[in-house]
Formats: sequence, structure tokens, C-alpha cells
Amino acid sequence: MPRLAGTEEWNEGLLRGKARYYLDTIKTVGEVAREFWPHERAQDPRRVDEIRFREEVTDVRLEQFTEAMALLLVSDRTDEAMSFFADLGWVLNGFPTSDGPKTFGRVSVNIRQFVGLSLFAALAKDGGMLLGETGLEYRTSRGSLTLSRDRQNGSEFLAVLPTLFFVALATRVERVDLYILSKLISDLLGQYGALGLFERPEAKLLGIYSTLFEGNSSEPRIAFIFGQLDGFMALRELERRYTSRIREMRSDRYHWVRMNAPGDLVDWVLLIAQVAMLRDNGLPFLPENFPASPETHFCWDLARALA
Amino acid sequence: MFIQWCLKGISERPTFGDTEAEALLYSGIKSNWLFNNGTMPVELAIPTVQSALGLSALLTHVNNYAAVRTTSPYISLSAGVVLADTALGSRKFPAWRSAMDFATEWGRSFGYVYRVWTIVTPQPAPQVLSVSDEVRNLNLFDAAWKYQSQGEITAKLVIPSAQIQYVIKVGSDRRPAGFRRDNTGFVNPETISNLLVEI
Repeated sequence: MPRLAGTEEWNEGLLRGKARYYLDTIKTVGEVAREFWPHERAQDPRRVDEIRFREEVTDVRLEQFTEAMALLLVSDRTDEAMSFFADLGWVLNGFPTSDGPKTFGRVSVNIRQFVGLSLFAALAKDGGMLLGETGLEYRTSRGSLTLSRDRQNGSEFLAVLPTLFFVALATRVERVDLYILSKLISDLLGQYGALGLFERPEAKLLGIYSTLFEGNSSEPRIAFIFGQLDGFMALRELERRYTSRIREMRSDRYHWVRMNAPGDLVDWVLLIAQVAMLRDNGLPFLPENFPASPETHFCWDLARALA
Repeated sequence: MFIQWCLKGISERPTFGDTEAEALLYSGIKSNWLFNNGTMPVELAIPTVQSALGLSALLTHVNNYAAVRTTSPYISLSAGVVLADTALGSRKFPAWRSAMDFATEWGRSFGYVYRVWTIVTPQPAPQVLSVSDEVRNLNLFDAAWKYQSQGEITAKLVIPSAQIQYVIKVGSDRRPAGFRRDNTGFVNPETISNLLVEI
């Protein structure tokens, strides 16, 4: 099983304790957040304030869950992480669905929650993305996540579209839904290309699939301004970025051995893209064919274990 | 300048329990520099601490705390932060979470969380003793990017008693542990804002 170099220095008890801390305290987020909710912010009508409060509680649960999963994935606990990925109740309800109703129903979530939760479900091979009546939807075996149409504008949505594309691809989504998502990206690229969000390597990575719908001239060529070479270069850039981040984190000895080095231990966008490629037989992009750092090899090994 | 509410987490130790936590409401929250130089005469302490302040010292406090943790004149506070438009969406890191992680040492101890206010400058002022720096703002402190998710505001030397609203004790599970003390000498920040009442 894959293990990120340097994590073998971590004290096993400390590692378990920290992962448990993030997971165990998920259930207390609401209570603690209410204790520290600044009363000075209560200027909105009561209901709006309560909705905002609940959304923030779920946001915090998601960040904690993400940090716990990252700790498990980099320290040779892929199977354990997979079992958590398959239960989004941890984030949505604050406890696993096995502790309550077996499903979480149909939940409207914000962009960050939609991306994070559908990414985790996709890693667990649970369900898939589709374009529902009210907007993007991700259906899992335990319930559905919906991203309402009014959320699907603005720079935040543009920034996550490439990630959503790889989430969709990793779930072997219906070709027609992938087509619609691709068309959405193509249209937005044309309209908002100047925003600079598509200059990011996460967006250029789409170039790998620039020929996905070739052969039918009426279908969009996703990311039409990127070619496969752009996509390939973006992949290497993300791998380099991950390598340098991990090395920087490891060089901070004081925080690294305490597992408090700042930064994400897992590059979730790179990971879901790699998993999608592996599930889609993206063999030309494997690091065996190119010089790669140990950190890059770890990423691919992890993606293989999850694919 | 603006006034910012912040939280500060301190873990419980054999030398820092309920009594000491409550006493801090009235003595102020000291930087480690002041804690270790508390007997220095004021006329010597002021120029000495002034000479210890600066951009380099501030960035060392933020990026390499281990090197200065017993001597730093700076005090880390958390005000929370939103990281906008990442490829995963906009990520929110509330102040209480960061304060709670430090207070409980990530679930390994009980701890105390203080609510304080401080005056923050809209541009870097790491050498000005009486104001705090918005380190979480990368437009001002791009070299502090590593710790941006901690939402840090950095104060200097001491958080005066009048600016500390309360302290609350939390368990290792982060739940309130039944100990809360309000500062009877607390001064509401609205009294120094630029909103004036009519004469």
C-alpha cells in the first residue's frame, strides 16, 4: 500500500489520535460553532442567519473530514479511508449513516460541499454525476447531493468546473451527461476565459481530454483552447507543485513531526484526475514513462490503489 | 485602521489551570518575550522590545515559530479566513477552529479560548507596537502564505486586559467544559469606533 515518504517518522499513536480528533469532533462542530458564533454577525433576519450558520457548520465538517482522510491516505490506510469516503453522512449529518437513518436523502449543498463530497463518493466508486432538473446532481447509494442552478454562476463555480469534470469522468458517468458538462465548460471558457481561472494547471489539465468527442463535429471539443500537450504539461506541473509542497512541509521539522506542517497532504484535484485517467485507461500519462519524483510516484500509487 | 475580533487558544498545563486562565483576563495576554522579561525595568523594556520588532521578526514568528517561540514579542491570534475560488471551491476556516486546535493541542488536552479585540492596520506595520498586523492577508504579507488557513492576526507584546472579553474552558473534545469567566473590566470596542452619537 502507498505511503508518503517522511510519514514513517510520525508517531503512530499521535497519528491515530489526530485522525480520530478530526473525526470525533465532527459531531460537536454545531455545538462549538454556536458557542463561538459572533453575536455581532446576527444582523440578518433570523432565518437567513440560521441558514448561513448551518452551511458553515457543514463547511467545517467537510474541512475536518478532508484533513482526516488526507492523514489516512498518506500513511498507508487507503482501505480505511475508502470506507469513510463511502459514507457522506459524516459531513452532512455529523455522524456516519450507520448510526442513524441509512440514507441522507436529497440534500442541497454549496459549491465547496458539492465538489468535496462528490469527489469523495467518486473515489469510493459510489454513484455518479448527472444534470438534474434543478442543476448538477450527484447520486450516491445513500442519497443525492444537488447544486442549485443559482449557485452555478460566478467565479467560484468556474474555478471548480475542471475538478467536477474529473469527478464525473471518474464515476463513468453517462456519456450524455459528460457531454453536457463539457459543453458547459466550453461555453464558459468562451465567455469567461479572460478571468484567468482557466490559466491554472487544474483547468489546462482538461486538454488531456480535448479529443473526447472528436468524430462528431456537432459535439463540443472540451477545453477547445487547450490541446493534449497543454494537458500533459499541466499534469506534470501539478505533480511538480505537489512535490515541492510536500518537500517544503517536510523541511519544517518542528511541525512535520507533530503533523502540523501547513498545507494539504493530498492534492485532491490531482488525485481525482489521476484516478479518472486510470479508470479511463490513461496509460500514456503514467510516471513510469517519465522521470518522476518519489512524491509523484506516491500520488500515482495512491491513485492506482483507489482506481 | 479597523478593529478586529479574534480568538486565542492556550492549552492547559500543570502551570496553567483555571486560576491562571482567569488571572490572564486582568493581567493581559503576554507575548513570550514579555513573559520571559517580566522583571525588566520599563525604561529598558520598551526600547528593547522595539528593537526586536520588524518585518523579518514577524515573518520568523509566523513561518519559523520553533526558532523564536520563547523570545518572540508577537502574539498569534486567529480571526478566520476564506480562501476564495480554489479548484475545490471557496474554503472557510473559522477563527474558533484554529483557536480550538491550539487550545486542545489537537485533542490531547483541555484548554482555554479567549475572545479579544485588537486594532489592525490596513498596511504592514510590524514595527509599530500598538497595532496588529493582518498576516492572513496575502496582499500585505505574501511571504506568510503557508499559514494562511490559520487566519492569523498578529499582535505585539501584550493584549491589554481591557480588550479581553472572556475566557472559556474547553475539553479535548472541544466542548465547553463548564468554566467561563467574563472580564469585568472589558471595554466594548464600539466605544472607540468612528461611529459617533449626536451631541
